[in-house]
Formats: sequence, structure tokens, C-alpha cells
Amino acid sequence: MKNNLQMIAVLTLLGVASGGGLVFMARYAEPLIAQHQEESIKEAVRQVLPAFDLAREKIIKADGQKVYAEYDDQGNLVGYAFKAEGPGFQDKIFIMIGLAPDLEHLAGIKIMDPLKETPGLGEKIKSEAWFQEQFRGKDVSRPLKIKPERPADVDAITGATISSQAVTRIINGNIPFIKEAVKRGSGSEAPEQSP
Amino acid sequence: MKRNPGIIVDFTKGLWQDNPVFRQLLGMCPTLAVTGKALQGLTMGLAVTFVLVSTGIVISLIRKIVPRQVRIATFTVTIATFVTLADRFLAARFPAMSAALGPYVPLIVVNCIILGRQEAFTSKNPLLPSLFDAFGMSVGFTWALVVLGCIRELLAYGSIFGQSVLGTSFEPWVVMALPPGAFITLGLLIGLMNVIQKKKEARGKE
Repeated sequence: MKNNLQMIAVLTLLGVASGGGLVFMARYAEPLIAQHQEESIKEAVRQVLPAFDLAREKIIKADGQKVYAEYDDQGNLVGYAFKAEGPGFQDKIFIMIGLAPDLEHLAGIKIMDPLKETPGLGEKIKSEAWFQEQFRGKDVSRPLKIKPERPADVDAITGATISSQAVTRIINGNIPFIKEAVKRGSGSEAPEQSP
Repeated sequence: MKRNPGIIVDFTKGLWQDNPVFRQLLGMCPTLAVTGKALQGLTMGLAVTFVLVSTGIVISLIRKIVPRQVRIATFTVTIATFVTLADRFLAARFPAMSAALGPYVPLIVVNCIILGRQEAFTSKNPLLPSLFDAFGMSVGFTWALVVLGCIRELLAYGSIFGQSVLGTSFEPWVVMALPPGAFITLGLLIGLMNVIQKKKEARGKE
């Protein structure tokens, strides 16, 4: 009986101490983690939209997802950005897609972390910079074609064929959604000041 | 288990004689999975060090009030708590590294080095020897991961800790970044350790 009580007491105390420690850590870590995510999105938006200064940002919400409309300090629309995701070779690939204001041309793309494609092979879609660069300015009024399709708009990477094709597929799959969201959501929300 | 001949031995046995990776072959999952790059190996080693040392302190301090029947539950709760602390801290302060290590930080929970040391050592020994034991095992684990990481990173990317060593003309061995490279490197290193150990023992007998 004494032993039973001791078991309960020890485990209860340990559980309380453990829970207390975890709460303490969560209060410290969660805001920082949220901040990192926010920053990584901001950083990616800045990289896909070609402007020295994105002064103002308007967030268009569609189906619970966010399309970022970015303006420079003169109030001119620089373009739209959207964080898309889709299946790659091993795991999901996250891509920030930048669209020009006309919605018909890519401003740029950025493959985001975490990228879980095969080290040394599929991973090259990020480490070989030319792959992402070649998407700049591409006409996306129709789906992009990647080699070995002909005529091809973009090159695939040797050793990363599946991952390269996945990138193109994710872009092609999300452009209609972005267009739709922008058309439906235009002006429906007050502009937000970005810090 | 041998009786501990002294506090120094508690520390040094983890470095070589009972090295968790090369001699006990424990903790193989992170050993194989995260050593594609040296820095990842080092980070994993430090995370395990934190968990092993903190858990060792707690378990050693409460060893006399924990009934035998619930000791494994006690170990597990303590380990899981420190692993979660380490995981959240990495995610908060080193997001890139946290993303690179992925699920392998939370998986320290099931790293048998940690549970094994509690059962075999800290739950039976006072604080000071337990601390030395935990530090010894941690350093042994960490150096093993760093050595593996350096070899694989050098051959797979031509760099060590992200610093290019072999230059641009080096043709990377892609296989070293993949799981087979981990097995090959680990196997060769264990073989090498065995050869050295045999030579040492032979010299000891003469």
C-alpha cells in the first residue's frame, strides 16, 4: 500500500514538473517560431518580386490561404506572391510563386525550406541557382512545359528530373488559383502596412 | 557491469572503450540519418548531450525515492521532457538547422543510449559519477557523429563544416550523401576501431 502511494506520488510530481517545464519553454519558443515563419515568407516574397523596396502589402484571403499583393513606395503594384505546396519526389515541396501585375508572367520563384528532396540529386532544384532563375519572366497564360516535353519553356536538372517536373507542376497547378483569388479579392480588404 | 574503479574512468570509458556508437552500436538511427553533413552531426551530438546530461542529473537525484516498478516510466517521462525542450529550443533559435534535422531531434526520445545509461548507471549511482558517465557517453557519441559527418561531407560535397576543401574540380560522390554512404562509412570505421582495439589488447598481454 505504501509502495502504491509512493508510485503515484513520484509519477504525479514528475508529471507536474515536466508539464511546468514544457509550458515555460512553449511560452518562450512559440512566438519565436511564428516569427521565423513570418520572416521566411517575407524574405521569399522579397526575392520573387523584383523591387528594391516593397513598401506596402495587401493580403488577399481565398479559401483560407493568403495571396500577398505588394506595392512600392509610390503605390504602384509590383506583383503578387503566393506560397504554394505540392508533392515532390520524397516529400512536399514549398514554392513561393511571384506573379507580375498582369497575372500572365512569372516574376520569379523561390523554393523554400524545408526541402526534403534527395541530397545530391533532387536537392539540386534549390542548390543550383540557375534552375529557379530560369522561371523569371516566363509566360504562364498557358501551362509551362519542362524538358523532355517539346517545345520546352524550362530545363530540368540531370539527376533531379522528378523534382524539376514537380516544381513545374506545382506552379502550373497554382497559377489559376492565384488569378482567381486576385480577381475575386481585389480591393475587398483595406491595405495593411508592412512593418 | 564492472564496479566503477573511479570517476575518471566513468568519463573516459564512453570516449573509446565503451563508445556508444563504435563499441556498443547504440543510437544507430541518428548516427546513420543525420551525418550527411558535419554540422548536422555536431548539432545532433550536442542535443543528445543536453538530454543525456540533464536526464542523468534528474534520475540520479531521485533514484532513491523512485519505486522499482515505475522506474522505466520515470526515465521515459524525464527523457521526453528534455527532448521536447531541446527540440523547441532548436526550432526557436536555429530554424534552419531544426528543419534540416527534421524528425530526428524528437526521435532522441527513443535513442537507446539515453534509456540504457539510466538503467545501467545513473539510477544506481550518486550524482557526481552519473554526471561524468553522462558527459563521457555524450562526448563519445558526439565525436563519432562529427567524424562520420566530416568524412561523408568531404566525399559527398567536397567540404567540411560547409567550408569548401577539395575545390570545384572535385566530382562529388553522391552515394556518400545517401543512406548507403552512411552504412559504408560506419562499417569501415567500426572495422578500423576493432583493429586498433585488437592491437591494443595484444600489446597489453605481452
